[in-house]
Amino acid sequence: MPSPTDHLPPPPPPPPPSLDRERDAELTALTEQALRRQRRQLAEAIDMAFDHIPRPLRGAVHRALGV
Amino acid sequence: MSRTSESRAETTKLSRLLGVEDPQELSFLLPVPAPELRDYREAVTDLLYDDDRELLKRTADAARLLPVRTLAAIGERALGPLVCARLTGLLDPRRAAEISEHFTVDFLARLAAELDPRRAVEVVSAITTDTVVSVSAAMAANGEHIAMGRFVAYLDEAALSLCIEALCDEDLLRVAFVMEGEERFTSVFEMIGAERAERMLAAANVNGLLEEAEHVTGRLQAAS
Repeated sequence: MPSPTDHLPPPPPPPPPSLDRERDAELTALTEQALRRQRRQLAEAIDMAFDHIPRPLRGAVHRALGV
Repeated sequence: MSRTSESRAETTKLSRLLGVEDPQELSFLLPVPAPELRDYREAVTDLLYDDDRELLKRTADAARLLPVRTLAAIGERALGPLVCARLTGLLDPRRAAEISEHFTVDFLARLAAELDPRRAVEVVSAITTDTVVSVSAAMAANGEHIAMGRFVAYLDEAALSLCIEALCDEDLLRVAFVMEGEERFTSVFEMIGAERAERMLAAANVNGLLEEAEHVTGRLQAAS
């Protein structure tokens, strides 16, 4: 099944120009963390969703998802 | 309206978006001008929404195979509010509104807190006024004033007016502090009315919302 982590994450946007250079990395790290958290949630959610899909429809849903 | 309070409002919004529980963690952003913080926040919103878009799109397509009631159960029990929010703008708006009718108000409130209403305008307008009012009350109870501020521009006047009636003064002030769009800001205060606005701003000191009140007063003065 294609997972949200199969491709490299896009780069975070450039930090605000007036932000102290020393703080750039801190803000970028928080943004990357939010992105990783979201990817993890998406992967877990899709896995869990299959438990709730009626069995006769699982195959069709798998195919629609490209798995 | 001080530049610092504008930056604080933006920092609060960004902390919500990044999932930073204590906005104080981002206090190093306060010296940054608000427009720069807004641009950064919008770029992060796009980043989060566009990441894994293909997989989300396929998930939305697969949703067409399932009945609305089943989708609501999957949304609430498995996908959760964040993933449902990312999917909302990718579903057919009428179907998304139908699914929402099967969600509990509590779940809808958590979903709305994660939703970028700009990407789901048609869905937001298809939600019934009663539901909008119930969801806004639940969001206020959850402390989601920042997210509520994003929705103000996308609600019709009837729904907005009923939400204003339903919310307490403190919640209204917290939403007004982060509300976007000057035109809508002014019309919201016309709906609130001078008497209630005065009472709301006067009580701010007691509620520890002095900065919010000063910011809102400044915006009102700038608009008049």
